[in-house]
Amino acid sequence: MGMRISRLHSSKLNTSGQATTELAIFGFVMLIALASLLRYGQMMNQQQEMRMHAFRRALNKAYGDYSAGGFGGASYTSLKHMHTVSLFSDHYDGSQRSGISGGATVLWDPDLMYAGSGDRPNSYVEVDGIERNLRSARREEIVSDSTIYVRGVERSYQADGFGSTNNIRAYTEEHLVTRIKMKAAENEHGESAIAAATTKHGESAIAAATALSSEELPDVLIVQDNTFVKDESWITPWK
Amino acid sequence: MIKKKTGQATLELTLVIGALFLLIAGTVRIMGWFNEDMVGRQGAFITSRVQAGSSSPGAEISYSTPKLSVLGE
Repeated sequence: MGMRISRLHSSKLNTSGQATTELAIFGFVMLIALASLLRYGQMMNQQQEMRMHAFRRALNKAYGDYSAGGFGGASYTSLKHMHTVSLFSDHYDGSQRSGISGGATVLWDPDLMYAGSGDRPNSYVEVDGIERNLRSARREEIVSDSTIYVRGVERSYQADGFGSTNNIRAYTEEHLVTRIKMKAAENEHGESAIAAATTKHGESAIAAATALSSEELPDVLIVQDNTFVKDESWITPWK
Repeated sequence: MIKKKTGQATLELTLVIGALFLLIAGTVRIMGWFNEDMVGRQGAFITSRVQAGSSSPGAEISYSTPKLSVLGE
């Protein structure tokens, strides 16, 4: 008797539109997933902008501090409130006001790379247990958590640009490891052009050096005290 | 006798698959636009970085966000 009733009951169920109904229910889950993805992309985009903006401001403030004498340093934090994608907004408009922040610290010290005794910079690279002294050009250098580069290259850019006397080329690999390939030559003013070295972070300076050693040996010219030394011995092949 | 309704789910799927495809394609396009914006802005930052660390940093970077066109230009 019970089974007969349940069989009659099941034959009266209307299953049309079931797929659409299920899609409507799970569609909400899908919308949440897509909205989260869009929100993540937007947050990453805005954070990158804020981080670079803070670094530029820190760079300018550190230069101002340095130009007054000695060495300079600045820490800059920037916070901005902007609308981001959100399904759970307070006003049901699909957006939510949230704060995006970025910070940077810049240290401006021309003698930073030469803090050691004598004429050797106090910067070392160790690759597979072999220690090398990382030489660099004796010029003003801007060291930050994002960039290490040489100030003097600005003069090279202004004087010769990327013309025949200067050929400076830097490029970045897709995996955020910056490789440096540089050539330097004397410009028309009799000064040595400075090779530019750029890395993503201070730690990546070592990573960049090790990245170089893991690839085929590049044509690296290290400029030191107005002399040019083509030296690949400090680059140890990766094992 | 129970009347079979074959192909009902497939029919309903054809009705919604267009909207579903547009939803996913639009999301992919927007994420690609975010990526394009980040790469373009980073390049502008790098080229103007030396000037930023000077006594006259100048205006903010000369970069404008590319126009988002979900359905192509």
